[in-house]
Amino acid sequence: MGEFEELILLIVAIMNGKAYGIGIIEELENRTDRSAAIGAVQTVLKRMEDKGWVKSQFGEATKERGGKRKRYYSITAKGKKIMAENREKRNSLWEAIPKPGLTYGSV
Amino acid sequence: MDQFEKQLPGWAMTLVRIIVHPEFQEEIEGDLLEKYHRDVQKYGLKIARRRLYTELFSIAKPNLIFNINRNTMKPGNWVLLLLLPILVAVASVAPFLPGSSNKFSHGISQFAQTTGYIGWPFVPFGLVWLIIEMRNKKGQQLNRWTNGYYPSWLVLIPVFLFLPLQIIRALLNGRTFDLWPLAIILSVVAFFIYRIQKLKKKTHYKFNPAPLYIVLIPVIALLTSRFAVEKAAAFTREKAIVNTVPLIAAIEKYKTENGEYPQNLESLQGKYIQEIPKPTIMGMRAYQYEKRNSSFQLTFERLWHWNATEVVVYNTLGQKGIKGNYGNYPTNHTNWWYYMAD
Repeated sequence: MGEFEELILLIVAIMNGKAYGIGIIEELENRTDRSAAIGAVQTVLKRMEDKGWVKSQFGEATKERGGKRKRYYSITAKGKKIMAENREKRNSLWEAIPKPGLTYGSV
Repeated sequence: MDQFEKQLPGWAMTLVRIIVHPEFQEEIEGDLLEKYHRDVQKYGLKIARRRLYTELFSIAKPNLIFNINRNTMKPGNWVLLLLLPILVAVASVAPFLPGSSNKFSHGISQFAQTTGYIGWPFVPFGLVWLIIEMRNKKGQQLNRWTNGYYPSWLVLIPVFLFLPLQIIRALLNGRTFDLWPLAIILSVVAFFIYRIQKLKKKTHYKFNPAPLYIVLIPVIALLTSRFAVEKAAAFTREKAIVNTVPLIAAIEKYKTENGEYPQNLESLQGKYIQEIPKPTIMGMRAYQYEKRNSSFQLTFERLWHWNATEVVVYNTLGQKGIKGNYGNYPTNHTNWWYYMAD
């Protein structure tokens, strides 16, 4: 899983069924100070949907969207499992960093 | 129409409808409009437009245009897509690979090269079919335009007319054909007619990788033919020429001792050379020797595609014409020339 893919999956999970293209971009900006293009986010969403990590369904249309419906994404059980595995890997990497205090004491 | 809609560049949305896959159009168009709307309020019209143009660039991605994903093709299709071009490329260069002389290498090489050449006029058909395949939605109801039936005929009718005309023209110009290239042409045409008739019955969208092969195989065959075949031919020609050095030395030694060149190569065996060397390239025939009055000629030949034969000649009297040749070229070795002949 790429870093950007992981971020988008996390945002989809945080938004709990209310994640759609522009909403995800705004949430990403608010939480990480990182901007993203619509094309980049959509590409990742399609790829994750294809892998079965997220599922989607059409929602309501609004005037500011020119009458076009939003497509809401939500995380699947498979997506949650992937996220948990990823978190475990990161945790084990953090734990593998030598702790200076202990190293000093053991000398 | 409100102020916002008046300010929106209409061509931008038309562009989105053209390039984005129909399955994603509504969602992406909505996202673009929503972002543009917010940007106008936040930054003003000028900056909002600039940001919209940047977003337009960001959606020009293969999986948003063609909906390419790993479900598009089955694993077997991917394997075939990888194997077929390799097979075509290897078959094309088969006569230039190391090994004992055999006709089979010519056969498969000519088959691969001919299939490539004949397949070339079908590439536009493959492209049209491929675009239709990739732009259709999953499970979409298809008619004879969207299932590719009518577009295929539109593209192929000129090809079906062009091929026989080319053959008739070649025959009128005195060119002769073996039966097998004609058999390949007929097989290819029959295959395409069969495929188009299958399209006619297709009512629901399901990705078909056939157009990918139709586009890819001629391209690979042409690239191999243009680059690899020419280079492999030059390399193996050099190798076969260098291989004759002890043979020519033995012939010259025979002449020094006997006052004349030998009648045949077998006269050299034993005293002058242990064994008559052979070209160690699959597509080359054995060295041919011919005694001339005050000189001798050593030749070897191989078939290229169709009826073109390459004859490589060693002659101490310099360049000599070969019957039926349409081009003669020097090599890097003194007294060696090669000819292309019908």
